[in-house]
Amino acid sequence: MTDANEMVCSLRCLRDGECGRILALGECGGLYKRLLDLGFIEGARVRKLFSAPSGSPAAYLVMDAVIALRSADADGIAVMKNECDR
Amino acid sequence: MSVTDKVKSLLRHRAASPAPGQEAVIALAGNPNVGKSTVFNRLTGLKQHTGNWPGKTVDAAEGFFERDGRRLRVVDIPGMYSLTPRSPEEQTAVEFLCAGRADAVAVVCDAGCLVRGISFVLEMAELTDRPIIVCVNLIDEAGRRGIRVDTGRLSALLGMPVVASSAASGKGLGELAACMAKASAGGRRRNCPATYPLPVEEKLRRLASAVAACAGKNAPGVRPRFFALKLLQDDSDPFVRSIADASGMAPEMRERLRSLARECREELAAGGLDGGKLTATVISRRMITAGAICEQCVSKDSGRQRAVSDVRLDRFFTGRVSGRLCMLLLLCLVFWLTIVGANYPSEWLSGVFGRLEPALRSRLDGWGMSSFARGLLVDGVYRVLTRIIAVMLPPMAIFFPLFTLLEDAGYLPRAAFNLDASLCRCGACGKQALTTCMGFGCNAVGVTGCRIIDSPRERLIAILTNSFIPCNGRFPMLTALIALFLTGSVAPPLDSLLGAALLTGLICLGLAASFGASKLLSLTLLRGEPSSFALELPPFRKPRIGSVIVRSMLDRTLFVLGRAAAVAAPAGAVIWLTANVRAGGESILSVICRFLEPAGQLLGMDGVILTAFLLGLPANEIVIPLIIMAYMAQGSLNGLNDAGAVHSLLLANGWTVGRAVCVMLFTLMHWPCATTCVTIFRETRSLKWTALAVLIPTAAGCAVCAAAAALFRMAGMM
Repeated sequence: MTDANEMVCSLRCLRDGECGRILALGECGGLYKRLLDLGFIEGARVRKLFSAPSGSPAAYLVMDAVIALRSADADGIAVMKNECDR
Repeated sequence: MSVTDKVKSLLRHRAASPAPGQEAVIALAGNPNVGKSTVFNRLTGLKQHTGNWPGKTVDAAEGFFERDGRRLRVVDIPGMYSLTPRSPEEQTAVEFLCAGRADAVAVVCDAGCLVRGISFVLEMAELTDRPIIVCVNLIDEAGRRGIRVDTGRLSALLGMPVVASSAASGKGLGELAACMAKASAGGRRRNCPATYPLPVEEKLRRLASAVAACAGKNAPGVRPRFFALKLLQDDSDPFVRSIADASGMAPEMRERLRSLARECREELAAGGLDGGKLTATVISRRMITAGAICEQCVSKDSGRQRAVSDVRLDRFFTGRVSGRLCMLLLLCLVFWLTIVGANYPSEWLSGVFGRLEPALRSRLDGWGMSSFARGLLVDGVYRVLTRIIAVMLPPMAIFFPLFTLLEDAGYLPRAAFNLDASLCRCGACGKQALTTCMGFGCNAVGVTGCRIIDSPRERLIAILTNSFIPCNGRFPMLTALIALFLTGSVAPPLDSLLGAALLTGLICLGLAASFGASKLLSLTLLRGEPSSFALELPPFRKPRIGSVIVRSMLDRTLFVLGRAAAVAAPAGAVIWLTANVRAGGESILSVICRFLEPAGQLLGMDGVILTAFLLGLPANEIVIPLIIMAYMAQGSLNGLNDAGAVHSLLLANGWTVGRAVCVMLFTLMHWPCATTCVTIFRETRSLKWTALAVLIPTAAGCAVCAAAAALFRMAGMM
């Protein structure tokens, strides 16, 4: 919790159960608008719930819904890690 | 209401013909997975039919009900996340909304994730000036998770009627119906509360006034401001074209608007709001407004957030070992129930049809019909048609409800989640796992299901490889051959186990072939990177058995049966003609058989079997009966039901274990049945892709069978 750089990572780097706040969406290709529609907007809180055995896809809780994303897509979303508030 | 009551009311309603022009149209919209269809089914009962708008290939359900003396037609448009269409399904929905055919729109939201729903409501309010009714559904489920929604407050904030409902139990739907009736009578509503940053608002004003001037009259039901917003974001958006088409805008006006939009975009980009950022800003603004609204009317009991048990179940169903084991066991269980359960009704149905036949024959005789025409109708059309109904209906009537049950409980998205990694390696989409599962019931249904896949490339892959999945029509054939040739000599308790294991092996082979073909396609004809994938995992829900049965019967079983019957009737006539029209003292059937003999031999089979597969094009169910018919040199399909007699007949015609295996492999991989071919054409609108969908499995089947036959010959088993 001391180094700010450690706190910023991609959504993919979150471990199961960890939370974060979305900082920015990179170029996620065709998924960009879809992700926005699903609630992956700047400032939204996300929590990684669980992942498939190979690590991709993984399920994220965002806007009270569970969305599965492939790790390649999750890589394009930058988050600030923080404590889960629930 | 019981099912019989529903059917009765359906019949009553058909009798009283609707008076056109007297009814109001309500569009039922909302995100996927919010229980929209349940609301629809509850509101309209069984009084619905599938509507097909001119020029549209995708169907949407349409139904009606009467309330307060008004007749309301409800159109269930496909679920979507926003009004930016990304799949053909969403495109239809958007086109319907743009055409302004709806007098009012009811938006169904999930009380459990209201922010996203309200954000969609806000977008809808930007689109149309017609009344909007908000239905906060799944309120009971949210209540169990400690979520309370103050609908009065929400209604005041949005300026729209808001109804809390729990469609599964019917709660709140009376009120919803009343609101719909009232809204459809007309009336205005307050304007939408979502606003954008000042520079965007300024451009919107400029564009909107240009739109209003250009179009003269606007697209019915579409606000100029919304059209301006879409133009500003992306003027190549299919939405823009839909609206322009609906309002009959001239090409030069479109060009003028386009250049004005480009100008506005450049100005915004200079200010730091370029393409992607603009879209993000617009959507975030809407979402934030929705969030602020929800903050004021949703209270959360923090102790009972998204159920921990749900996450635990999810971990179990998607675990490395438990997930895969579950998938395999569930698959086996569904097949076992289908195969075992379908036997009895199948026998009963063929008995009934058999008893009806003499009556039909004598009735036709009474009309003085020639024996040729009678043979064509009874021995040809009637026998093939009834055979297909008797063999096809029971397994489908068991499989589809089971499948819908898994769908309803929320298991299927987890299966897609589990299989996504493998499918991703094949260059395909994880949702293909769902269409694959549907293919086990019927390939035609699986092909139709491919609409859920967004990327056109991946949708084509899923469509082209679906027929590798053995459908219900091919299962009886596989199980019969396994029982006759492979497990016949094993003692009773072990034989069914061995049979199940062998069948599972064959199914896995089919799956592997389907995945392999996907990989091959993505490396050759349909090259491309696997596109992105966002799959929503809805909470696990207790399925509603009654509605599951009704829905799966109506939506899937009867649909497939109807199409199969339409193909089978003419095919029955053709089959009878080939068996009974003689050329040079020999029936056409045996001429074809002789002609195909060398090809059949090469594939480890014989001419008769290959001919049966060809004539079995309308439905795979009749392949075995056709083989028996040809071996016995009879003129019509015959109910030879005694397994022993069939076995000795096949042995007498040169069948060996090796040949049986080749036939099973060919059953797994050959041309899709006629119904599936027609469906593939309907979905792809392309002869080229339809031809390829026939060629791929056929080529694979021929290669595999020829290789297997060569091996068996070397081993001396043939």
